[in-house]
Amino acid sequence: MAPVGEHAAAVRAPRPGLRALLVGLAALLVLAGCGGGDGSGASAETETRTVQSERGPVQVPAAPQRIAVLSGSLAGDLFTLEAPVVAADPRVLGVQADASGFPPSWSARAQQQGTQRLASEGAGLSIEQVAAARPDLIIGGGQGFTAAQAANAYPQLQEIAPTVLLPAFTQWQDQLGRIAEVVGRTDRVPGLLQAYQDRAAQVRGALRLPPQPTVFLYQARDGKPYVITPTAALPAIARDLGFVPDDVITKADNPPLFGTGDSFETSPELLPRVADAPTAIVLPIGQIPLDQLRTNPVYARLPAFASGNAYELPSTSFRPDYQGAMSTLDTFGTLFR
Amino acid sequence: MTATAAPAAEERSAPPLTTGTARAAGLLAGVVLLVVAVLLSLAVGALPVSPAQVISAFTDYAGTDAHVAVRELRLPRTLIGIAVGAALGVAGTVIQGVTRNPLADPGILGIEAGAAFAVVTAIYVLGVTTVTGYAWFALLGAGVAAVAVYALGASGRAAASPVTLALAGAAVAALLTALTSALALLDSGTLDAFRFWVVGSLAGRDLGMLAGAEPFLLVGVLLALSSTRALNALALGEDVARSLGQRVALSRALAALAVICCAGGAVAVAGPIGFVGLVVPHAARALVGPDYRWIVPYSLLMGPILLLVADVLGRVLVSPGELQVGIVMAVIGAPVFIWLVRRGKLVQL
Repeated sequence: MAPVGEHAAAVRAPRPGLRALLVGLAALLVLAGCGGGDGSGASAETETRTVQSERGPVQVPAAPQRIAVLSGSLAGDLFTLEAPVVAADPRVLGVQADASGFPPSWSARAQQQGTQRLASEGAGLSIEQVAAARPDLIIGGGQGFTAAQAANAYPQLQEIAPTVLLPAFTQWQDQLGRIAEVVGRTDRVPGLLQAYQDRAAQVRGALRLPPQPTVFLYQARDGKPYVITPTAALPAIARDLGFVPDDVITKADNPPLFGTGDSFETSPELLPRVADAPTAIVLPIGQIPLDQLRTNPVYARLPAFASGNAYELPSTSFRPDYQGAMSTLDTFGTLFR
Repeated sequence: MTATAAPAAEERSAPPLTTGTARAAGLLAGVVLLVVAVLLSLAVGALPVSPAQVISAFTDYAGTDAHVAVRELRLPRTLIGIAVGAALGVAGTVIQGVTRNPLADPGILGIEAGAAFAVVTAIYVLGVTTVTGYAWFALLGAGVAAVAVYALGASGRAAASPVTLALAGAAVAALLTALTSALALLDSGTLDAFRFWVVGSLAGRDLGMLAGAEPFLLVGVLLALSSTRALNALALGEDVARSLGQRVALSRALAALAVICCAGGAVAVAGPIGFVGLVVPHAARALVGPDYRWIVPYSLLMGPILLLVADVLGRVLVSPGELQVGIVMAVIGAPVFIWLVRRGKLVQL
């Protein structure tokens, strides 16, 4: 018993040398705090706010200085808000990274900030790499696989820094708003939304609208057709431009929705019923481009395809972040001149 | 000798079809069942199509939604189902005979592992994205892996024996499966593409690919049909087979070639589909006993029946979506296999 007691005593009371060192360090910190310029910076660093996470309320720094973001689909909005991103996961579904290893839509801003690329090789999330980046705020969640990784690693991540897991957003406005709230930059959101509205009005003015309504489709790699629901992000952007998303839910007889509810699977046999709108917009999400779909006898017979009113938008338009929504407007502008 | 050996084995399992007439009648019943399965496959799907519309799709094609569904969607997958089901059934029967292992299926020659490794390499290294593109790599990978397994199994002191073949197959398959996982996990894009291939399916496959694989399937089936006597002799043990005048090594090599052609062609067209090659031979043996001259033709019919029925089920179960036949086979194949075992109809090999 004696050695155990001795050990316990050692834990309770640090050795005199160590105690002196700790006192010295604390004094140094206090001095450094007093010496810092106007003092408001120091208070901002220590001030915290409470934000909602998927795991309940979390205390986060009022103005985070080193953010680690564990999902590529959330990172874009952080750069849009000019938040300081110290490390980011580069994976965005269906998007090929450029030479810098980041998605082209935010690689320049990531390099400018000196953002560290979190390893995306292998199935795992490197907790050590996140810790080495010394973040003061960790943001995870959103759509897809990376959200599941962050959720699995939540206990360890929490030890590193306050960790906010966000839900899977289906509208880019909701995502931008929540991210702004988490990083304390809500003041920038109205301006960004206004810029979107202005650009939409500009594009809409110059647009030559094809016959309406419009159906939004993609084909998975296994050849299964998926139909995008009218309330999903892309049809909502199209609606801002005067398009009328077709009521595919009724035509498909209220099918079970896939994932976050922004699309549903249908049988190729039912496609002539569900996708009979005079205009079709397809996304090459399953690496099957429009030209290839045109040769498919089922698609070729759809009214939109037969009349030459089938158009292709990039995969990033499916679940866009703010920049994705803006570039989708531009693509509409060029496609429907 | 084969004639006397066969009845002796039959007494153990007492199959229902013992006389030649009964077996021939059973074969005819199999043909009828296959026709029924084909009609089901043409008539059942997400879009309601009447029998009259199925017929008019062939006699009086007018390009209606129903006609397009039958001719463009259901006919190709039915034809692929027939070819792949027959090939898998025969391949399973022959590999169980060659290895005298009732748990053997074409996977034991490393065929599926080889095909999977070749496909994942094609996606990762060469950026192949189409199902047709995968098919040729699958065929190549299946062939190379099977030859490697056979060479490894035959490299010991004795020629390839059932045990050395099974060991070599397990080793090569384990290595290839590990490499496949490593490549798929290295790159999320590769994993995304690969996960669709690795669930075998009859839908969305190209009839052109079936035409490409057809020579392999035909050669495989013909080789299997011509190997039935040799398989009967091998079932008596190597020494007896040799004393009966069989060239054991040659018989085994030809039978293995039949398996490579059949299973390699099938995996190339439809992707890996489990359980057909395992269940069908047992079902056939339960009906006609241990005579391969009957088991192989029965497997040839039962494979497509099983696969087509499973495919039709996949269309009905989650309508208007579809389950790939690979998933349906895994779900219904295992209970069927357990039921066969429980009935005590597993003939000793």
